Amino acid sequence: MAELAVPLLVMLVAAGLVVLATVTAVLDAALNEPLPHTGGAGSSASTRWAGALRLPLVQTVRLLRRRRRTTIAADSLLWRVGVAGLPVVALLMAALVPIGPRVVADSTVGIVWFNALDVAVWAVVWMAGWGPNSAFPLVGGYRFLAQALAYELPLMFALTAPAVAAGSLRLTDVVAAQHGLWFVVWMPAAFAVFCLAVAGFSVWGPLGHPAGADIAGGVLAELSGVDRLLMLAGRYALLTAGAAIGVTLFLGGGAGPVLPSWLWVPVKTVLLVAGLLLLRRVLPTLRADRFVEVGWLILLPVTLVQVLVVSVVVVGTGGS
Amino acid sequence: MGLTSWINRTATGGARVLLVEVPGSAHTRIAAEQAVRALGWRPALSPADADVLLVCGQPGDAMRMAVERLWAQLPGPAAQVGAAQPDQVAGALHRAVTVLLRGDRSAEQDRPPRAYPEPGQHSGGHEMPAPETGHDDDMGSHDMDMPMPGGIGLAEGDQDRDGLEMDVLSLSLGAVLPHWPAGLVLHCVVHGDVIASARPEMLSGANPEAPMDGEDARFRAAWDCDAVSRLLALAGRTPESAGLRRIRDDLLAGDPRGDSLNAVQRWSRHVRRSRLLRWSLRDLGRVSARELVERGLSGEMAGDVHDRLLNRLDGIADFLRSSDGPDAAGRGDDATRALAVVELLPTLVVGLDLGAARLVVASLAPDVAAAQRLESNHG
Repeated sequence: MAELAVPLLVMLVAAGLVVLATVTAVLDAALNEPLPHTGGAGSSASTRWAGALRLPLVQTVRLLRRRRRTTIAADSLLWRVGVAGLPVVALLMAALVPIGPRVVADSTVGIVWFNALDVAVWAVVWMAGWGPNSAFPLVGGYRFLAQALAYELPLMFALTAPAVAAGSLRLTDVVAAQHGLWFVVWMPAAFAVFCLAVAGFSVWGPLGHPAGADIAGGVLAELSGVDRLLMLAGRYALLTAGAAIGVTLFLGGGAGPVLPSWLWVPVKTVLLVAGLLLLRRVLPTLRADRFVEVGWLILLPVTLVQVLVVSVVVVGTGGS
Repeated sequence: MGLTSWINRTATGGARVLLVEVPGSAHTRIAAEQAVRALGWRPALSPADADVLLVCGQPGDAMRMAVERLWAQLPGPAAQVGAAQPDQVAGALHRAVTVLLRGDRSAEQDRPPRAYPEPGQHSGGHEMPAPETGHDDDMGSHDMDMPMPGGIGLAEGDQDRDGLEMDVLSLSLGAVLPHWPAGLVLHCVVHGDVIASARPEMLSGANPEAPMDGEDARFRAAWDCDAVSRLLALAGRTPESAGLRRIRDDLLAGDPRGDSLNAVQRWSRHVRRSRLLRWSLRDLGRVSARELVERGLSGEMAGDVHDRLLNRLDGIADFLRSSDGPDAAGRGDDATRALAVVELLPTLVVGLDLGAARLVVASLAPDVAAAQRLESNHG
């Protein structure tokens, strides 16, 4: 296996994230956007896909053409940091993902690093809400904190399960430990909670209440031009990077038949993303005030039991 | 040159439209929604993301001021157009396309524009330099002699619902918000995002659409579809919301009863089956039948948001099932009820957070135009 120079690998991972995030945006539009009501049922499916395929390009051009705007007494520094923060966090997450035998950042504490990154999203989204000095974004920012409070602890325990099973916090070890049996098979609860949390820190779909229509787009309400583009792209990038981590932790990473292992990672990521996107069809918006109840009374105990089961299995089989 | 025109064409293809519905112009707004989607465009959630500001109906003075304030918040390129009647929507959107293709920012108005930049001036970059002097907002406690950033006064403290000292913020919901009743403004005092008090105000249209005699029952069913669709959109149920919107359009276009009935029953089953939706909407804005009767309202609005949602769906199905739409209530009665609903709103939203309050308002779907008819008759 030829060794790639690290700078080249970094660029490949970044480019891969951009491409996959674009695919995510296209899939979201194709699967979830309501069709225009034109009558012709036969042409509608192809119209939908044609529109969805053009969507990232059209919206990028549109937003780049629009002027940026600011508000009265805005906290520009925090606002810009918040807006630019989402893509940065997504990129740092993607750097952790082992792609075949290679990985940009093969940290011995990779899982903790991932956890730290998803907590960084708290600050980022809150700053994006606080910055414009406007009521609806502010409400959105605080809604996100309430929502994060609900999903974060269950997520931490969900992350613990693969770490316990692999006996390591290093993501390459977690992938190696899934040889023969993917963790999703015997950690379904942890996997499900993880997926919900990915939607949560991406401020997307059923957990997109901080950017909800009821508060005129919440944290997005005052954004225009390139700022809006960064934040929207950042959300899709986070959804994608989160799915890639999910593939690493629960779906065997690059393991799979026929295709080379570096190709399995993006393929599985797209499949998992498609699954996540379908959440929007199944679930209504989970309002922060009600979701906290679910997070603490249902998800938290479930993940604790999951970790207990995994621990007992690990001890019973004499370590992994 | 080629690149510029490609950029302008591409950007125009994905435009977002902020619809302003003047009360009494529901037909125009619905026609505009259809036309916007037919162009492959989408509704915008906030002025910051809108390329087109489309005013449906003829706004009265207060509404016109709201429109001007909104327009000042649209960064260019942008177009402001108006359609007083449904048949003017296509022309208005066509004029908007022309403006967007040029990359301009222009408003068609019957008054000279004021504080915002003249059309055609597009320099890029910031429109308003933000003062960089310290930042204060409404979530901390401050001394009175601190500077007022941007000329905004500091918030005063008050006890919130849990007896904690919180800063209070005055926040007006409406007149233009996604999925919000036309012409309604709810002047709220909020603690954080919890509403402490609310006072409704109704903005009027200059020239509301004439009431459609003879089509009343059908229009009311379409109105109910619209209300359900908006409530479901706020609750995050996109497929059902789009389904009800389609039924609404069919009802207004002609009357394919059988198809619509099947569709209503199908979506109604979806809604009824969704335990998560029930969990999300239950116990919100609960009102007893007795209280409704005291206010001169019928019992069909009793219960919580979820009950009202199901009642409305049943009402639509009943209308479609009856071969001949019976006109249950006359216009005057409608107006009395509408006014009573508007007056009921503040009592229900106080103590709720904004998200819940939005759901309650959407479940009641007050008809501001009808309520105003009564108010203006009485003086």
